[in-house]
Amino acid sequence: MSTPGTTTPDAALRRVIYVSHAVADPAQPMEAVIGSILDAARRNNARTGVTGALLYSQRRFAQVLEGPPAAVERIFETIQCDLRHDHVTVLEVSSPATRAFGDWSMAFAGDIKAAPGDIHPAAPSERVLAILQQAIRNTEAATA
Amino acid sequence: MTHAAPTAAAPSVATDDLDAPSRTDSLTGLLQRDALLDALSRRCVTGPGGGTPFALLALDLDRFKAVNDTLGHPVGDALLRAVGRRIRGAIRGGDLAGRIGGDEFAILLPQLTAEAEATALAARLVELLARPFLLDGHSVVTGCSVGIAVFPTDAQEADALLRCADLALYQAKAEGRGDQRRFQPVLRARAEERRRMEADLRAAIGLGQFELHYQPHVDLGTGALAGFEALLRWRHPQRGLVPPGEFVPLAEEIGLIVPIGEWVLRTACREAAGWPDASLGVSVNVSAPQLARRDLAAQVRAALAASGLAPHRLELEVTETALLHDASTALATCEELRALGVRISLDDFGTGYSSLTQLRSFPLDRVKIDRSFVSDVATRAESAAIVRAVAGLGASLGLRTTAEGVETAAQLDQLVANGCTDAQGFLFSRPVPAAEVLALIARSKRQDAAAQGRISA
Ligand SMILES: Cc1cc2nc3c(=O)[nH]c(=O)nc-3n(C[C@H](O)[C@H](O)[C@H](O)COP(=O)(O)O)c2cc1C
Repeated sequence: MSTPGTTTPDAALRRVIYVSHAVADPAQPMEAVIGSILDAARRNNARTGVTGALLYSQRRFAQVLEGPPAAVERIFETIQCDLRHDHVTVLEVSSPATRAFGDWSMAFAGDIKAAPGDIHPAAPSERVLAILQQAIRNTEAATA
Repeated sequence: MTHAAPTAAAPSVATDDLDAPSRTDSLTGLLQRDALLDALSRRCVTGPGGGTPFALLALDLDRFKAVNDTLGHPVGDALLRAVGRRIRGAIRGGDLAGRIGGDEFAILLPQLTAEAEATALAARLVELLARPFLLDGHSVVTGCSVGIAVFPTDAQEADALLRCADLALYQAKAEGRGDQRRFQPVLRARAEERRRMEADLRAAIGLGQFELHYQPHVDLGTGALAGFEALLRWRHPQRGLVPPGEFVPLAEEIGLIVPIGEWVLRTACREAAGWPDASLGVSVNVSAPQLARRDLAAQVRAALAASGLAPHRLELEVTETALLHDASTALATCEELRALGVRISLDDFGTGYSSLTQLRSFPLDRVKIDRSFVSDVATRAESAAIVRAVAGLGASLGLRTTAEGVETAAQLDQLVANGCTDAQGFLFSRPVPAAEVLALIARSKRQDAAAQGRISA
């Protein structure tokens, strides 16, 4: 716990969780799309101290991003402008005490074969992972 | 290209020859208003071939004020900054984007080969700006509306073209926001018509163009005339008699409903005071904005004093929306009015969502059952049941119940059978000009006398 006024950049954590719909592009198989997203994530996130997890299932994304607030907001904004997905709905914006996915620049799990780095749920991440999975299940029915 | 839209390294907006950095808006990085308007004017040149076509988009955030009001100006500014970034990311090289007001933007598409390009950009902007923003730990969803105008088809001058784009933008907003509209000449005609109507309406009190018509209501217990409802009409020199539905919404929008309401109050009191029968009441509609003002009771007192009308002869008709909009002010006002000796009735009952029990805390004297229930009271059991329930509850709360819009004898029979105490409608009389009220009163007196004669005979 940090005392007010003495927060160091490292002490302040921001977490955002959202779901979105993948936009289909016949020219781009989903494997390739996800591969390129994960490449970008692993390239960019580590540099700014952002970690997280991405879930893909039934043409839905669910993602959690964690890190210093400014860095999370910057990466979130970049992702918002990405036309490979739409219908973005934010489910949670919070300031957790610790990270749920501290070990991965961007862990991935999905019903699709993608790059290595598949999630091996560790204890702290289970709750967030459950939120992501539940979120995808909840939105599946919405727009089939 | 369906790949990621460029963001941080977006094409600069400063692609125009004269756009020095000093002419960009420091918050959004887009062109300042003047710079954009200059660029616009420079392109508004019509030659023998009519000039090079280009498109102008006017864009306005749908919920900016709410963000500013609830999350504060720093977050509002952060939103504008992020919107600027998304706009820069969405436009093509050569397009010019500027911030022309608080949360208003304009985008110039100089190289327009087909109108569809403007529509496509508008669609992209609507989509991108509807996505969430993460600002200072808040997820903010704002959305935008876009209006499109094309040079030289829609207008040949910069100002006029911007007005066209704005009119299309208003249309997009009026039709539900979060979408785009292309300018159409009918929008200009409609705006012009509205402007004329507004000017005429502002002058109408001064020019003495308003008048009151009166519709009688009848006590179903005795069959006798009980009073009149005063109804506002506008006698326009060209349009003729304009019904309230065509000018009251506009009057509300431009803040004229309060002075017009005061005129109605004073006029109704004065005219009623001149009726030969001092037992006849007059009811006057009071709008929500009037009821929300603290000085309504003072206005009523002044109108009574000026006319000499006995307070118990005046009845004010209010709607449940007006009562519940700011319930505590409305309650205080109603109690003041009651203390003056004035009566209060609840108008159009049944059209809102509240129940009589909910409205019981207000000091009411009467409920008026909306015409929609009356019209099929004789043909639908459900409507008859609603009328019966309202009349029954009204009676137990000590209220009279008036049925509005009674047109047939069959309806009247049902209304009597289901417990209504009063009725009003074409079956008795249409609303008549003030000058015909005296004749109506005289006629009803003769009928009463005849009825009395029959009874005593
Ligand atoms: C669902 C989804 C999740 C993404 N997650 C990330 C991410 O965590 N980090 C990241 O840098 N880019 C992410 N991207 C990709 C970005 O939108 C963008 O394409 C990328 O950051 C560009 O990186 P570059 O400039 O290094 O090429 C994601 C895209 C999608 C559609």
